[in-house]
Amino acid sequence: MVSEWRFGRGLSIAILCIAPLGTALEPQVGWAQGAPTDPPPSQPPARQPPEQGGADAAPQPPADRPPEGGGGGGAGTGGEAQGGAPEGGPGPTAKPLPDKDAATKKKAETAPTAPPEPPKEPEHKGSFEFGSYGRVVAAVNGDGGPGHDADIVSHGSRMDEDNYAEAELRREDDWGKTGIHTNVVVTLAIASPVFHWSGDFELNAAIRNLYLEARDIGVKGLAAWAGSRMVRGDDIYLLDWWPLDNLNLLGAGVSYAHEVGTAGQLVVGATQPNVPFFKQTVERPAPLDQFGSVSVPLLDRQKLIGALRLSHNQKFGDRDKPGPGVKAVLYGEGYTLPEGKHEPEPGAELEQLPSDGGFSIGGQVTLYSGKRDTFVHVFARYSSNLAAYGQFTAPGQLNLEKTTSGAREIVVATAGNAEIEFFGVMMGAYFRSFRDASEALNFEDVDEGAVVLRPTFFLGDIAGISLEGTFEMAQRGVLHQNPDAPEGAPEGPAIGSIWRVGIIPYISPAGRGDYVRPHLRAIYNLAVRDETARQFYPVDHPFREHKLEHFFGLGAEWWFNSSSYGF
Amino acid sequence: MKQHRKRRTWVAFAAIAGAAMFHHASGCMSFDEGLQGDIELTSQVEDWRDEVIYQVLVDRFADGERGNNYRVDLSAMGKYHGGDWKGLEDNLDYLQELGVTTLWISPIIKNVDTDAGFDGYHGYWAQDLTALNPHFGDLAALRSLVNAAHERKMKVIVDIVTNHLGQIFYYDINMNGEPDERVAGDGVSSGVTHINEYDPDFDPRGVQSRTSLGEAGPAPVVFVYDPATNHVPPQPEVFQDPRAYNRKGRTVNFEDPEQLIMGDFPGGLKDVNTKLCGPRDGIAVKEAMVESYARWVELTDIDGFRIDTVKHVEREFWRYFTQKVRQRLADKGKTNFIMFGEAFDGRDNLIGAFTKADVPPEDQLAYENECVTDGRTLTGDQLDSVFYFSQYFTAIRDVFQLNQSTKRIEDLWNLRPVHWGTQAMELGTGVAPSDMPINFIDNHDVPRFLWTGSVEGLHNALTFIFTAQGVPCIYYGTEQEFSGGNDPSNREDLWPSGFATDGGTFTFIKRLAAIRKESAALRKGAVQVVWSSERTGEEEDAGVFAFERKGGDAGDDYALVVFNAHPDKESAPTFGGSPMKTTLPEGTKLVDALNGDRSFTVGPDGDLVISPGLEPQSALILVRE
Repeated sequence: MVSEWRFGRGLSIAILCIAPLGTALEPQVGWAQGAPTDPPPSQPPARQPPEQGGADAAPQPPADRPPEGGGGGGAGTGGEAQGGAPEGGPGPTAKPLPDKDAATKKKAETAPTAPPEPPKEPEHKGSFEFGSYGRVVAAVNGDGGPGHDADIVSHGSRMDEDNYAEAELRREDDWGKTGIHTNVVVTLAIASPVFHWSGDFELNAAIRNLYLEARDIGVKGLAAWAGSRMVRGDDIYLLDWWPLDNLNLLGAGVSYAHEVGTAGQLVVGATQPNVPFFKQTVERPAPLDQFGSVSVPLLDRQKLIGALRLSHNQKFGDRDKPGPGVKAVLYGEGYTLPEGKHEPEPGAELEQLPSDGGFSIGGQVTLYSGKRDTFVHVFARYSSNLAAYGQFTAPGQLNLEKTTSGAREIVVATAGNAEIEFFGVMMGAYFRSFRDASEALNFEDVDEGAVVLRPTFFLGDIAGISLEGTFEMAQRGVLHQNPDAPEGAPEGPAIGSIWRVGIIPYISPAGRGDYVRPHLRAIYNLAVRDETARQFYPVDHPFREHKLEHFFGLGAEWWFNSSSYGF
Repeated sequence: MKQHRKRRTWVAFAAIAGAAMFHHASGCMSFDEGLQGDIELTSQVEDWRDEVIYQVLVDRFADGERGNNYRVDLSAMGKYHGGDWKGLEDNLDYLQELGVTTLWISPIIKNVDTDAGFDGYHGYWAQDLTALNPHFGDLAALRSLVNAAHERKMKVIVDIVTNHLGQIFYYDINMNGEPDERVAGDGVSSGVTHINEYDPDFDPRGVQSRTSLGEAGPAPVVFVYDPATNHVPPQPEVFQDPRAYNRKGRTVNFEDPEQLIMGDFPGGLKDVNTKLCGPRDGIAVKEAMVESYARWVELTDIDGFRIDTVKHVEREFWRYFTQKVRQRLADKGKTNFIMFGEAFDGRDNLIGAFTKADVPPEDQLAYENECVTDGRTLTGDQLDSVFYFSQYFTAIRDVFQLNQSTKRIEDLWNLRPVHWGTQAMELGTGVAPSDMPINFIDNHDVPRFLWTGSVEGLHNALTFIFTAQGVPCIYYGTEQEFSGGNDPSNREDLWPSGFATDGGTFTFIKRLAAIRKESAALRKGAVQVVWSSERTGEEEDAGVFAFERKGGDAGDDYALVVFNAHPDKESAPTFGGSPMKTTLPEGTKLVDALNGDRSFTVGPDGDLVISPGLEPQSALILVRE
């Protein structure tokens, strides 16, 4: 799909970046998973780092990670781009890429019969690519103030998410001598506030990709990368969340994808969230009796992470043609954290922090029709100890041994999309149960879930109207007298919920389809909180004051030619 | 071609590496020879009475190294000013010309850098007894100073403090885990002293914690941690044990012996429990003091200790400390190492008591010897000498500034053999403390003489300390006629003087030092007062004081020193027709070494007539022609 969005001399990779369901039938190498072999579209950017396990959805952190799927980006195995041609995809974007190599071959075949020229050294081909994901919205609430995300769960509807964009610069090379294709990817991510809103001439930005990837290393389908990278699988677009696999780390990986549809990837790396559980800098007298003090990294430990992903994509019918299939993924992560010591208070006796660790294991089953991005994902994941807290979250509420042992997270989630004629419907839902390492229940212990349904009516190829309904519920581990409970009912865990309904009329220059972007759009969303949901916010917080929350927005969303969206 | 390029690259790399190694091997980054490795301890002194001591407040003497000017604020007398050991070394010519033979330098060890808006420039806020104060330089700089001094036959005495450390902890009286500026009283509306947690008033039970409901037992001690100001737990590590301190709060009544010994020094300086030792008490405080300070001698070859606040420390400690230091240094070749103390007190018997070698009662000595593990049991030996504070008050202040009776000086001197030790300490200076008081006219703890006195009075007082029995000690800046009042006004920077050597007082001191150097009698002779007077009015001998120096270790040398301390009247050592009697035979001719313009002949019976008398605030140093 979206071949129009190719920039430069783009290989199919560029196109595959956001290739939706079933577009890729050939197993691809590389980490851009959503790539051809990953049928379902994992789409654009998510919002809050889902790593925020257990975080109250109300105060949403800005940064976001983009969706997968498109990531197929990286996938264009060494110029064999064709696999990205979407089957049954939306009109113009569904055209297969021209096979330049084939054209060259054909030209050669039809050449006049002249004395054979000496064989030419394979040509090096290189290009610069630009890709991007972005969403920008100008929003007001019912009072005329700025509109804010109203979720009460960790992963709520993305409809009212704040501004976020990625600008990706990529260098791609085909090294004729070796047959290896390389990408150097640099992705700058930008989050609110933007200058034209705040007047602050500064940027809330981060480098989210900075790596080199090589594909077809000696063997077709064998790839490797090293650097700083987002590594992720399929997402739930409506929730802006990757429920199974979403690593952000400094490290390296190797992958192999066989053309029969079986693939495996191994990632190793490290992260050191800038929180005291991992890092503590203290002041110490200068050495050798010099003046004043110097900063000393007293605690300096990082999470060492290993992840293994095995997948098989079973296509029904002709493998070379778009069609239905099933994909299964097994996924696991292991974490280890060395011991360290920290200073509880300045000058206090140092405390030992024992080594720590954890693991996650999960799986995914996806069914897809191969037509018009129609699919359904089912995810399940169990995480223990350190892995339960999320990748960049400071583990709060440790156990008495100051470790995360005892923490766990269970996630069951689903997502899907179906499109028929002028109608499409997306859905996403999940249940998540998180318990921290302390035995007693507390506010961080949460059971939560959300269901989102977004039917869309396509108005020709250039516009559409989406409706969205959401129900979110969260149960916190604190005793609370639920206001809605019958008189005299005992106190129980605080259970809050919110209903949300919204409408999104949009213009879609690239044509129809739930996963077709860009969109120019308007958004209206109404959120209705129950009494307990309002209690989740502190006194004087507007969301505590308001039972009803309005969100009016005018904005845009786009993605094209980006490596971020896919594993 | 590529091969050649590669080869050239390697050759270039090898050349650079070789040059770097040669650079290193050639010592470009090394300290001067002689500053490396072990120091050979030497004994620089033959007789400490030959010395002229010059007290240097290092921060205020000379700035010889800009690199250590940290936290310098010349606009505030309570802040660091930048003086250092290098600056002192650079100006040894100046001191040598003045006639100085021994430098007493302010404490060298690492201090709490700044506290309550004041800096530890003076050095009396110890934090780390094992490290040097970087404001003054490093070990190389200190060694260089000592070496340079020794090359000039000058000696170096280092100021040390064993009574207390700096403001390194607070008493968490209300147990809220943070230092509170006020936990009781306001000092104004009630009779209760304003009490804060850094410097609470003395409590014989130990500082008590308290809440609104009343007292709650001993207040926890919390060591402050602020590396930026060097409020960090003290070193050596034994001082991080609260038991190493008496923890009774600030001394408010210095007449109370318990407070005097066990109370914190005003300003929140934490009183060390100097009675404790490892074998007996399980915490090696005494040993740590010996180890810490003897180590600096071994590292630098310094020649003596001036010891702060000795009257606030138990006698038991002084016996242990002085004897163990002497033994340790003597074992390593350092003998005649002087240790004299400061007891800021006018009571002669009190200050002299620290020089007595009286053996304590048998059970007390046995108790003290429980701390000894090297088989060298303790005796009664203590300090080699002390500052003659009783003389400062009685003579310098009362006589030379306030024109009181000179008889007071004679009375004081007569008691010295009673109040002070009369036998030299074993392995000590070889001189009885009573023969070697440290004479001074002012120092960093009292207003300078010129704060209230006149230059003539200053010269007279200087003549007094250069000729009286003992060792003269001059406070830096005296030679430049500094006139600061109480601390910190009396701690002026010396460098604005330009280190001038042509000023009146500089040349006067220079002359006194030369006279003293030439006169064994003035250095080592016994003393005999030949004239003193109760009279301070218009009488003919009002303000006159005279003494002979002879005998003792002076051989046949002789000196007669005559003072008129009266501020505005000529006086002579005669009264009612009876002139001063000397012990000299008739006909002995004497000349005035100080002024060089008068001579006298001894009459019958040793009578010496000085007529005309002495001008107000003047003196004669009479030696044999």
